[in-house]
Amino acid sequence: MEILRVEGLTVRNRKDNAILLKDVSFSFNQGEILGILGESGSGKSLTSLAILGLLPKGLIVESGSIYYKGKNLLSLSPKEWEDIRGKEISIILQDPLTSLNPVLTIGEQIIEVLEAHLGMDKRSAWDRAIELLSEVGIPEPDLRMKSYPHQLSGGMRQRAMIAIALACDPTVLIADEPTTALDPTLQLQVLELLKELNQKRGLSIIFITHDLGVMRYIADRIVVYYKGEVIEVGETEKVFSQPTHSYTLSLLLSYPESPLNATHA
Amino acid sequence: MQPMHEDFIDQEVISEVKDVWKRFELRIGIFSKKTFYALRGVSLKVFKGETLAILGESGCGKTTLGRIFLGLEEPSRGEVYWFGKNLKTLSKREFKSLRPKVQAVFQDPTSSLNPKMRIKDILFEPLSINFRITKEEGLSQIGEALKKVGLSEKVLYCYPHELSGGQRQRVALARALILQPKLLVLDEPTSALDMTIQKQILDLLKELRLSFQISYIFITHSINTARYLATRIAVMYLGKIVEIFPAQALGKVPHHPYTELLLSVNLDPFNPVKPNLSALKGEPSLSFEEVEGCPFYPRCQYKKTNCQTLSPELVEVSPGHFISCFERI
Repeated sequence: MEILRVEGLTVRNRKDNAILLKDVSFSFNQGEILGILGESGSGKSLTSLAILGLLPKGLIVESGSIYYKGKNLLSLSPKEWEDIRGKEISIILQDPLTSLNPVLTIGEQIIEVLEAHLGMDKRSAWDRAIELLSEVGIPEPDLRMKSYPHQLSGGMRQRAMIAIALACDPTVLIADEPTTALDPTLQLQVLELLKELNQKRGLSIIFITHDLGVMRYIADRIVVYYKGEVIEVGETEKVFSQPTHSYTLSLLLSYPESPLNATHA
Repeated sequence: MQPMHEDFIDQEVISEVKDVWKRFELRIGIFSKKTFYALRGVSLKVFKGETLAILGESGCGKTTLGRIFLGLEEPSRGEVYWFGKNLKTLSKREFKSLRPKVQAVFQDPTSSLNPKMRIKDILFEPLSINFRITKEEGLSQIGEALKKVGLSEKVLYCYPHELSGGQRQRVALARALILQPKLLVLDEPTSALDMTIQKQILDLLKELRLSFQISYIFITHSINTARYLATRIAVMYLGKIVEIFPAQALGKVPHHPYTELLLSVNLDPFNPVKPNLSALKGEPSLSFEEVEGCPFYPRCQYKKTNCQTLSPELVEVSPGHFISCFERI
């Protein structure tokens, strides 16, 4: 079942009239992990910001629409956004150290979300926060509630970020390069966690990355971006074995030991 | 020992570190300090013409080791040799004459190039400092260096911000090459770049090494780039070298349990295998004390009781292949 659809989205920078996203269209199904692949500046992160209604000042949506459960997100009022952002659609970013508040404990940051969005009282929010921390695989969650972000390791911080993002039981999670700052062993642990959440909770995930190995590992389907345009959409296996667009092919060939080198050299 | 031969690699040792320790003091609060060991008894030789990859995760000490090879950091204990000469006993003048021979390229060209200098001046500075030559003489050498890294002379009057990430890294490389070094320390030179550009820079590095017979110390966290560029790989864990092997042997011989773990979590887009998740538990902790035993002990799936108390030495298990693990020798 389709849960989100981006249709002909064009975003322009008001200052220099540069077109940053050009006629971007793709659909996203319930329970799916959709990969967005592209190099830096190709518009992958911009798309996720547009979906959350968080485009930076000076960028305007020139045309197009984003349908979430049949509603056009681009026509929502700020009040209506509150019910979607964080609650229905949540996001985790690349570097948890910059997206977590350094002066609040992990517990306080989860409880804040629970109180603001769901109107929970302190006590039940505390219990729920512990549940969330243990769900994302943080050992001794009751102790960790009182830890500050700098006291956690990189992998634990990213888990804490995921716990905050899951606090309101969202339907969609946007993961913007969530493992790029992590070491390979931790990267795989976080990817496994996301896969598990996808299967157990039925969480639908939009996964943004430029890493081909990660993409192959996690995504069901892939959207390939190039300079603000979507140039290819397809099943993961298909995109990797028979890319249709020449740019996708050049991306795959950039992998140091790409077997495609032999056939296309 | 015999490094893997790519015809011109020979036994000549370009640089060497012997039993190098590096201690840092971390301030905890106002009064207390904690001692932290970034390197714990590392010995390593770099042979002429080889690419020695130093592979490890963040915090394992690979960058510190690179800085010690460069002479930018002094070891707390142990010796560093350049071309057979001990850096501790070198006079200032001798050090100055050897300095151009050992150069560096760092991860992020945006921060390693001065934003207020034109490319021409960035490339001229090392020449004027080391060889005191005039601008006119310099210009021809600058042109040559640009040609080596595949840039046109158009960039001479540009500032770093006017260039793309790949072009900037080429400038950083030209700046190192202009002194005709014998040893280049490359600290994650491609991790800040886009993937298509990464490949170009890796290929350029390969080509330069072959045509100018430079030795590389290639510091990286990526098995894939190490496999692509290196002739020999040294794997580090918590300040120690746990394994050294010829790059061709990667994945084909019994490895140290940590190398095995790194291989099992390496996500190859063209050869997707189900990674071994049971071996994945835990994360490295910083080594605050002079711990006894094997540094990998807490995460090792083959550990035995004596691994906790006895520290394994690097032992040559086959020609050019060293492992520090009781299980593997």
